[in-house]
Amino acid sequence: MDIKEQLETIESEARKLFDSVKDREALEKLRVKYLGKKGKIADIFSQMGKVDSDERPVIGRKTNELKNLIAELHQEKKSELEELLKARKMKREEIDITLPGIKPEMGYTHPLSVIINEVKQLFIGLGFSIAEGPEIESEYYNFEALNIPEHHPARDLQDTLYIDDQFLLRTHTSPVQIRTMEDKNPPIRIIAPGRVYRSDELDASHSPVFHQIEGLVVDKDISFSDLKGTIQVFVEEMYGADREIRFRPSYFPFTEPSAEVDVSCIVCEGKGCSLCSGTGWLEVMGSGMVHPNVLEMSGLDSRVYSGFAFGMGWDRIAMLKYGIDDIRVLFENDLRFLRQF
Amino acid sequence: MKVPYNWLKTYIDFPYSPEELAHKLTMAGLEVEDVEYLGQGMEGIIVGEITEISEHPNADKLVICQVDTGHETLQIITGAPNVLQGAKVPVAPTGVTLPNGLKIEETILRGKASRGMICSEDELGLIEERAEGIMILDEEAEVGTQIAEYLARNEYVLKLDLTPNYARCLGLLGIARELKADLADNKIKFPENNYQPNEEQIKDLINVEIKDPELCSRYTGILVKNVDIKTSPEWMQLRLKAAGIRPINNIVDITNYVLLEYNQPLHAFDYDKISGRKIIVRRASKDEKIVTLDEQERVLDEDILVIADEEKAVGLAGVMGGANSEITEESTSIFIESAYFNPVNIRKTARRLSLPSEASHRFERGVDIENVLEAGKRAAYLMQKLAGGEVVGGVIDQYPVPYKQKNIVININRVNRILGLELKAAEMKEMLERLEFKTGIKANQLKVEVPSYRNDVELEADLIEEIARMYGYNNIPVTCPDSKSLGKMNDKQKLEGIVRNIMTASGLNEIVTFSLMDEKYYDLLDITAEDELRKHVRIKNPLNQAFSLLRTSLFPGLLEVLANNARRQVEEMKVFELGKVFFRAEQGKRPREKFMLAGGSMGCKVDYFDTGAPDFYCLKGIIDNLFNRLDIRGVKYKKVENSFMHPGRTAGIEYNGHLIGILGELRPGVIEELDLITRTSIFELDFAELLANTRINDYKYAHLPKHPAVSRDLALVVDENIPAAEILEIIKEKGTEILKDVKIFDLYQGDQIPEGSKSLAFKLNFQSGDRTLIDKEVKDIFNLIISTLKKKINAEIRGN
Ligand SMILES: [Zn+2]
Repeated sequence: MDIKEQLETIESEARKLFDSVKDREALEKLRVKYLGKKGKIADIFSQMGKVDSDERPVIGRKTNELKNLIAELHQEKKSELEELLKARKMKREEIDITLPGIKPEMGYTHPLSVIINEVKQLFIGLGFSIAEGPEIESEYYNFEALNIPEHHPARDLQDTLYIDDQFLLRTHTSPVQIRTMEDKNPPIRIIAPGRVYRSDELDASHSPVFHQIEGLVVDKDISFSDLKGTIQVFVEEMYGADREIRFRPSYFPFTEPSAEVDVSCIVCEGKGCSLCSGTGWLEVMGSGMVHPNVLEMSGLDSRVYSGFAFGMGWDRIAMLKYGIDDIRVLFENDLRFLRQF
Repeated sequence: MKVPYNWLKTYIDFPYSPEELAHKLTMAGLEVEDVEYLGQGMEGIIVGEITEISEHPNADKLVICQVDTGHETLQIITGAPNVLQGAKVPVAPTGVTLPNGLKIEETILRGKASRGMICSEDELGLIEERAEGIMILDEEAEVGTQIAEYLARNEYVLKLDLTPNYARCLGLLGIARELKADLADNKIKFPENNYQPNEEQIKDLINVEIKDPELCSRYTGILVKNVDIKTSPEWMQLRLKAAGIRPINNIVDITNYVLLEYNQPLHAFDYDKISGRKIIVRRASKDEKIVTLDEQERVLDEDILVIADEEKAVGLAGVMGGANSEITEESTSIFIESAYFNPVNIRKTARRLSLPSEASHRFERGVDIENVLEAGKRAAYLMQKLAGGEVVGGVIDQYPVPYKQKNIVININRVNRILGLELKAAEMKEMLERLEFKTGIKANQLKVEVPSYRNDVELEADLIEEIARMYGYNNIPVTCPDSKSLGKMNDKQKLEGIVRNIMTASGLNEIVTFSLMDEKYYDLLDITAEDELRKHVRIKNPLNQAFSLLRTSLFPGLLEVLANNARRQVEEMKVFELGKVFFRAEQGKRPREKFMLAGGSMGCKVDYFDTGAPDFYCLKGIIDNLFNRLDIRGVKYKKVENSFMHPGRTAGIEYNGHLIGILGELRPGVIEELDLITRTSIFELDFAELLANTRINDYKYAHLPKHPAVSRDLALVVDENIPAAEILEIIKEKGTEILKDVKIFDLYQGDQIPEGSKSLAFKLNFQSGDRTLIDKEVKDIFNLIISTLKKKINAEIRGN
């Protein structure tokens, strides 16, 4: 067989073999078979001496072309096999993506904290600061300075837990109003969240220990309409913008005029249900214009300054917002409960 | 206060349904809690007449009645023994549901159809016990009338929850006045009180002396003779019952009836039991005794005002009458007392004797001193009319401290400024006059005369409320106050948020527990009497044992939470709480309040060093992270002991030489007692210390090192009693500033090393901020560390 024929045979044979090779070992063997030191291309080159000198350049060129072609075939196949291998490996690595993820242990914030954080952020946005006061209070701050003299029937409104003749557990966060007004000149704009105490037996709707949020704004020219505006912003943020709000006359010794704030029931939308005792309204807070006696007792001139105050049950906000129907749940701290917030 | 709708309507005509009235009153400030329909469950039951009775062919004990109900005749079979032809009876036709829930259906009884039921009193819910037979109604009862109406049960009762400033509305006339403010054309129909006196004069029959005008500023009396004591008429009994008052006899009922009309408590004395024909209003003497109407003997003192005759006290003024002057069936002459007593004194007496009454409730809140006599006259009128009494001419009216007309001047501009309105003087005047405040306008001021029954009105602010009420709270515009200030939190409040975030990010769940607790926890934790934790504040009037003390530590609440969850099969739980604790101070001083952070862990699964104390180390890691985050450096853990923590597993957390907290595993006994998971550990930190020492606001950026770090491992065997902290201290000291970090990554105790010793492995990281460390430099320092460890703690270096 002359060299030309050999070259043709090698080419067609190599094309077939490289095409059908299935793994890297076989491919390597093919490479050696054709391109190795003793391979078929080397064999051709070794026959060059027998070739006519005028044909030699042509044969030489063709042989080189064939060598390059085979090298190319090898390279192509090699990449192809590598790709295949990667694909196979990934196929083997397939996982069940529906298995659960690994959850790092996460702690939950108590719903009362969730609520108060929201409330604080809201009021800070409205220019309020956060005030605090002691939970053990004197008669003076808890009652007298709030215009609740001894032997006034208003004392019946709250059953007090006493420490001794001088101190008691505050029955509301309102003493913080007095402490703030004593410490600071207007403009005053604070909320005072805190823990309060009453001599109430523990049941689904009462607790001897609970939480309130007090609000106080004192300045020149503070009006009842300002009170309404501030409370409206709060109610819309906490209970939703579509809540209806109504103010109705009420009585708190430390505000005059006083108003109870109702919002349309979040369950029945005003139609009447068990949550709102059929009235369609939920009482959410007490409020009013700071009583002139209170301003005066705290050292502010009631002819110069006016203000408004409001107070609400912080536990109650959580209960309404999350649909909790038993206040005790808040203090039981069942893990299944805590993990819901 | 229970307000019967139809009764109220007799004093003022108003166009509201019971529900509308409830809404109206609620929006006026008189909160209506509930509206009750007294005929509840009687709907559909009507008056029928038994027109014909025939025997039941198939049953001896049953009869077949034909009952006329006005528009049809029903055949009804009954077994009642008292059926009577011509009797008027309550009939529940087919389809009606009885108050007890029984639905009447057409039935066949022994072959004969029955289309309804003739009811007994118990079936109507009128009596509790079972009635003998059917209820027979009056002959005049009109066939076809709803039984609720016939029984005067067609009444709605509004239950009012009145705040102290609405005390005037503890009488129906007061409520009528409130309604009148919105009903300009309607007049209040005041009750009739014009009686016909006889020829006698009261001053010839009885005298009154007020010894203490300060406690009794007005005392009036009327004498009614020859009364016939009996039950009061049906209509009066029904009204009283609807208002929640039990009828007794006509005289007592009349005093109660007038009380509900006028908000003026009255007392009726048996005139013949008053010796010396004299009433003396005086303070009781010390240890004076009286048996009150409830048959209790009361021991009195000088602070209590009594009504007395010449010999004895005959009543506690304004609180309760005495048994010795009580009206009985034999009484014939009645002395009606209508007076004004000092509110504070009445309140003190009622509280002292634990004797709240309808009377004291009203006197405490102040009655209308100017109308005291009117109410007494009303009672005399009713006694004349309903008890056949003969009213003696003249009245007693001792009025030593006359009422002073109260006038308030209000500034129109201020009213508008406070309410955010722009009302004119005339508009304000009109509103106030609707509430019967006589008002005069002078420049920008209103001069307002306060009616005598408005003892709640004292200041301009009170009138501002009245104007706001009349204008309608909900008609006042909505504005927002100008804000000149920036809202912010103080450092403590900010830190609280940061700590809460660190705790939850560390996997601790926040809990909130009661600050009132049971002393039993101190015993359970074996806390000794001298322990600081026993310096608790005790509640003087606790509700019960469970809420009798203020906590001195967050631990009891926290342990209870862990225990409750453990009992519910929770296997692993970490919690924390931020809250106040309280400590007793010296006598007369305000108790101390401290804000604390506490945490607990039970059932932790990760035991990194295999020490069998996973919860302890878990909490310790979290605390270390906390200090690190707050940039509080140099916290030390020192072994301490306390009564409820494991003696070998408890650390005092020390900073700057003093304790700021404690961390430890609970004693096995405590764990067992509370059903906790073994190894449960807890910690508590003084939040004030965190706040005082944090440098969280001073963070400064440290340039990131550009030069490579060199790391070396060091394993050594030391005596097992040498604390890791001591070794770390030596390594850090000798490591100089190029030792950036050192970590313990292994702890081993066991067969491979001698007994009584432990092996610890450290990873040391060297790095310099300004150069690449050369090998020799690191090697020299590393060798110095080794030689120091050998020398100081006798360490044996492994694999070296
Ligand atoms: Zn509802």
